[in-house]
Amino acid sequence: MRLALTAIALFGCLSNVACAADQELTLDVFIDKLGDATVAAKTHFTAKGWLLWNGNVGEHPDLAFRFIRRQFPKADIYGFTFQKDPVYRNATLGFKAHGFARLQGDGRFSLGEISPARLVTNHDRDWIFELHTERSVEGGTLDETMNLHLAPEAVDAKVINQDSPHAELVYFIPGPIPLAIPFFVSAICLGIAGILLLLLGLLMPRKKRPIPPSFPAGPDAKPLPR
Amino acid sequence: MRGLAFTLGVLAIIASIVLVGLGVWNMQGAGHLEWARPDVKPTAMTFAYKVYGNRDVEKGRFYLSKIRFKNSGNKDIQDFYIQDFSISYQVPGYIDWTLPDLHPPIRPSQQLIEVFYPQFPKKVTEIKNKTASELDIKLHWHDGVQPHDEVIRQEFPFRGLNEIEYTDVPKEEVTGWFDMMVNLDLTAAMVTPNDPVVAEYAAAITEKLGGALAGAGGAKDVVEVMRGIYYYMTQTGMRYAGALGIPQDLGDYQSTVQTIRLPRDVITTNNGLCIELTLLWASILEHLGVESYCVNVPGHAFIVVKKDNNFIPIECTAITPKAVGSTSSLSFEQAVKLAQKELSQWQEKGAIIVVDVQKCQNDGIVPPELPEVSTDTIKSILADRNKAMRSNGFASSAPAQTQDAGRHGAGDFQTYEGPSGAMRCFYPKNWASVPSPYRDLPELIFGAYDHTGSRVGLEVYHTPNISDPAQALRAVFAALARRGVRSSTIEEKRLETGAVLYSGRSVNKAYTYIWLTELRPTNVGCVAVMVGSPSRQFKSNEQTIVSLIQNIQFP
Repeated sequence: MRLALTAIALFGCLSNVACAADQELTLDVFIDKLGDATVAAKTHFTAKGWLLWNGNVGEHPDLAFRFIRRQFPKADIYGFTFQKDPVYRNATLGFKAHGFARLQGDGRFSLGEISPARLVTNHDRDWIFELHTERSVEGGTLDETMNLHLAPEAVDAKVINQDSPHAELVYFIPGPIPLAIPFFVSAICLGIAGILLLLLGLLMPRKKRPIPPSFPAGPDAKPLPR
Repeated sequence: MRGLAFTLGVLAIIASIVLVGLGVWNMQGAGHLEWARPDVKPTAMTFAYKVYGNRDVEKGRFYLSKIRFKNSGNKDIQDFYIQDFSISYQVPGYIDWTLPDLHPPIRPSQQLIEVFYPQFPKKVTEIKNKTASELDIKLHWHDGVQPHDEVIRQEFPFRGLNEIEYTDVPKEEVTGWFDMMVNLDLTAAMVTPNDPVVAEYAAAITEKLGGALAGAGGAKDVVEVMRGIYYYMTQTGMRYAGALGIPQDLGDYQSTVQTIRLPRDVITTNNGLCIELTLLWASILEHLGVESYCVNVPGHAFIVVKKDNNFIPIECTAITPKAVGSTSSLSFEQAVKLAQKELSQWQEKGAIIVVDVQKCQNDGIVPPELPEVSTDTIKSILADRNKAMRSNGFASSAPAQTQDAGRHGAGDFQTYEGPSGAMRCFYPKNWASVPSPYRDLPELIFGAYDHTGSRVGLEVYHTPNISDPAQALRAVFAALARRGVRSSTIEEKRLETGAVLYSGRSVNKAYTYIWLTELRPTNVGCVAVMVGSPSRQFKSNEQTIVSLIQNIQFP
C-alpha cells in the first residue's frame, strides 16, 4: 500500500533517526464500508534513535500530524492520537481518514498502488503487506508491516495489474437493499392475504337462524301460516 | 368463521395500505451535498509548474486545491445518492474550464475528497514576481430530486520563476526546521541537467578532464569528475555569492521564501549561494550520469555523490575560501573533508533533509521548460574564462626555473644538463623554461613547459644527500607537499641501469597531473626527471612524454 506503508515512515524519515538505528513499524488499518479508515501505527526505538526522535518529533506531535496529512493528500485526516512510552521507547500514533479508499468510476474501491510494498498473505478480508526501505544518505533501514482489514461488507477483494508496477488492491461493496422494499413486499403480501380472506368470507355459507318449535304449542301459540 | 375471515381480510388490507404508505414515505426526500472550504495552496510555485500537474508525485501532495464533499442525506437508499456529480476547474488566463470529472454516486454519509492537479501552461514561467490569480471550481450534481450547479472561487498567488516557498505551513503553526522545509523536494525541479547552458558548462569541464566521463569509468572516475568540477570552478573564478543560505531557524521564517537562481544563471554570473551552487553541482553531475543528493541542514546545503555504496560529500562553497573561514584556497580533498565533517555533525543532530535528485526527478519533480538561449553566447563566455584560466599558468603548483648548468640549442630541441653533468635531457625548443626558482622548493632545479598546446612539462629534481631512489622520491613528494601539491605513485619499475621508473599523479588546487619519472642515483645524489601533463591531456601526450623520458641520458 503505497499510500499507507511508505507514508507512515513518519517515525523514521521525519526524524532521520535512521542514522542511529534500523527500525520496525507495524500498522493496523481498518476500513469501513464507506472507504474511511482507522489507522494505528506502532514502533520501537533504539536508545540513540529515541533521543533523536523524541527531540525532533516526540515533543511535537503536531508536527507528526501535519506530516501524516501531507502523506495522505487524497484523504481527509482527523482524530489524531499520539502516545509515547519513554520507558520502553515505544511510540504509537493513530488517526482516522475519510476517503482512505477511493471510490472509482466502476463502483469499486481502490487502496492505491501496492508498490513498493509486497503482499505477504491474505485471508478473506484481511491482508498483510510489508515494505523494506534502505535509507540513502541518512543511513539505516526501515521495515514496515501493514495489517489491512477490509469492511465486513467487502467482496471480490483482489490485486489487479499484478504483474505491473501499478498493481493495486481493489474491492467492491454491494449497495444496500432500499428500506422501502421490505415495506412494499410486506404490503403486497398482506394485501393479497386480506383479499383472499375477504373472498373466503364471501364464499363461506351464512349461518341459518333457528326455527322456533311448533309443537307442543302453548296456550298462546298461533297456528303456523299455511 | 365467515365474520373472522372478513375481519382479518380487512385488517390485512389496512395494514397493507399502511405499509405502502410507510414505503412511500421512506422514499421521500433527497440527498444533500455539502462541502468544506477548498484547501488551496498558499502559492503556486511557477518553477515547479509541471509538478502540480502530476498526481503521482509524492502520493499527490503537490495539488493546487483539495475539497471534501459529503452527502449528508441519512437514508442509505439509491434515490438519496448524489448522482451525476462532476467537477471542473479553471484558472482564468492560464487554464480554461477543464473537462468535467464525473464521479460515481456518493452514498449518504460518504465523503469524497476531490483533489485538483492543474496542467499549467509553460507561460507561467514568464511570471517574475508574486502575482495574484484565481481558481474557479464548477460543481454539478443531482440530489435525487433536481440537478444543481454551483461555482466556488478561491484566490491564490503565483510565485515568480525563481522563488521557492520552502513551506506551506502557516506561520503560527511552525514548530521547527522540518516544518519550515516541507517543500524542499521541489528544489529537484531546479536541477536542470538537460539545459543547454549546463550541457556547455559540463562539456567544458569534461574537456578539461580529457573527455573522461564518470559514467564510463565507475567510482574512480566519479571522484575525478568531482575533482574536475571543483577545480574548474575555482580556476574559472566561480564564487560563493553571500551568506544567504537556506532558512535556519524560526527567526528566519520570513525568509522561507527565497529567490534561487537556476543553474544557468549561476553559470552565466559565475557566482551563487550555497543552495544555488549545490543545484549547479547536481545539474552537472546528473548531466554526466552521476547520482547526486542535495543535503540540506539548517542554514546550509551541499552536495553528496554516491560512489559504489559510499557517499562523498563536497562543500560547494569552498571555492571561496572565506566562505569556509579559510584564508587560503582549499584543495578538493579539503573541501571533501569539510563536508564530511558537516555531514556527520548533522547526522548526529538528526537534522538533515536529503533530496535524492534522481529519485525526485523520476517521480515527476522535473524542471520547467526554460527559454531558449544562444549556446554560442555561453560558449563564448566559457571560452573567455578558459583563456583567463590558461593565462594563470600551466601548473601553478610546480613552476620552476633553471638553477644549475646551461642550456644548449640542438636542432628542434634544447638540452638541459645538470647537476654537475650527472644527467642530460632534451625538450622542444619552443618550450619555456621558468626562470625563477621557488625558494621553498630547492629540490626543483629545472623546469620546461609547453604553454602553447600540449601542456606537457618537464621538471628536474635533485636530492644531493640521498642515494636511494625511493627515499629521494619521498623527499620530492614532501617538497611538493609544502606547496600544496599531493603526489602519489601508480607504478614502479626498476631498470637494469639502476634507475627506477615511476608513474604517478600530483594534485594541486587546479589540476591532476599524471607523470612519468626516471630517478637515478648519481655521484651527486639522486636526480629525478619528471615529465607529465594534466590528466585530461595525458592520453594525447603520452607518446611525447614517453619519448622525452626515453631520451634522458645519464653519462
